[in-house]
Amino acid sequence: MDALKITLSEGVLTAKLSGDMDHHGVSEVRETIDENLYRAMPTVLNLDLSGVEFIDSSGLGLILGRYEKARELGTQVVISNPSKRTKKLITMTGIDKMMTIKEEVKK
Amino acid sequence: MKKQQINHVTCRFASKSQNEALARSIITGFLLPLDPDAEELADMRCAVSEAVTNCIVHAYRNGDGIITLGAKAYSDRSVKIVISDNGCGIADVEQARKPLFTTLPGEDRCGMGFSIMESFSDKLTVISHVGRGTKVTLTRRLNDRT
Ligand SMILES: Nc1ncnc2c1ncn2[C@@H]1O[C@H](COP(=O)(O)OP(=O)(O)OP(=O)(O)O)[C@@H](O)[C@H]1O
Ligand SMILES: [Mg+2]
Repeated sequence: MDALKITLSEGVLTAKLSGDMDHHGVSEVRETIDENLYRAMPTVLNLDLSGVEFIDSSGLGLILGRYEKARELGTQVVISNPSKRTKKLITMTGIDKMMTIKEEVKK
Repeated sequence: MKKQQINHVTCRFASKSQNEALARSIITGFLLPLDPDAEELADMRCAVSEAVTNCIVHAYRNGDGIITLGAKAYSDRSVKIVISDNGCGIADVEQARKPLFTTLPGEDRCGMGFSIMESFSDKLTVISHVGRGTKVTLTRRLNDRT
């Protein structure tokens, strides 16, 4: 399974993250997300966390870092499909108050 | 009845980012026989990951070094986990433990590691000496199983 899958559709750049969002995991995807963000300059950056199995402050740092970069470009950041566990950490650190969290109904 | 130590483990591993997952696996393997609930296990895995990552990125600044992970389990279902390094040390521990304090803001660090460790443990102690290293001790008592 790829740690990162990027898709662009109608101004929405989706970065689907999978596996471990720890310091090791995020260092492998950070650059690719940023390259795509600067190239596409999307209206929305959608961070799809449905495949994330583990997250700690390094993963939260990745989200916040992209949020800062996106804001400079006028891009809105949306977090989608966090697991219950991921949501707990997002809430603990107040990220849920900065960004929209979208939970899709799984078919 | 005085609590007794029922199991212990000590591991030493290189300061490499792939060992963050290794440290989580070690602590999972140590805790599983104690039958923790899913939330407790996830909390401890996350706390260990925070402490080990701090050794890698702060203590050794992504260079070579040795990280020691120790765990002890007691008869009252309490667990003590110790993560230590021989890295740069922390000058002001009280300041370092404050939420949002980080010395690496440019590297996507949010200064939440110690706060997360604190909320996931009953007690967190940090002992550090500049130039000699840091020792982080987390204790948590697991819920009784019925
Ligand atoms: N083992 C260590 N050795 C040296 N300095 C440390 C160590 N652990 C923490 N620190 C110092 O304490 C500060 C706070 O640590 P904390 O884990 O709370 O935040 P962070 O690592 O900077 O960011 P985050 O954990 O959110 O990615 C660090 O910025 C660093 O200066
Ligand atoms: Mg940290």
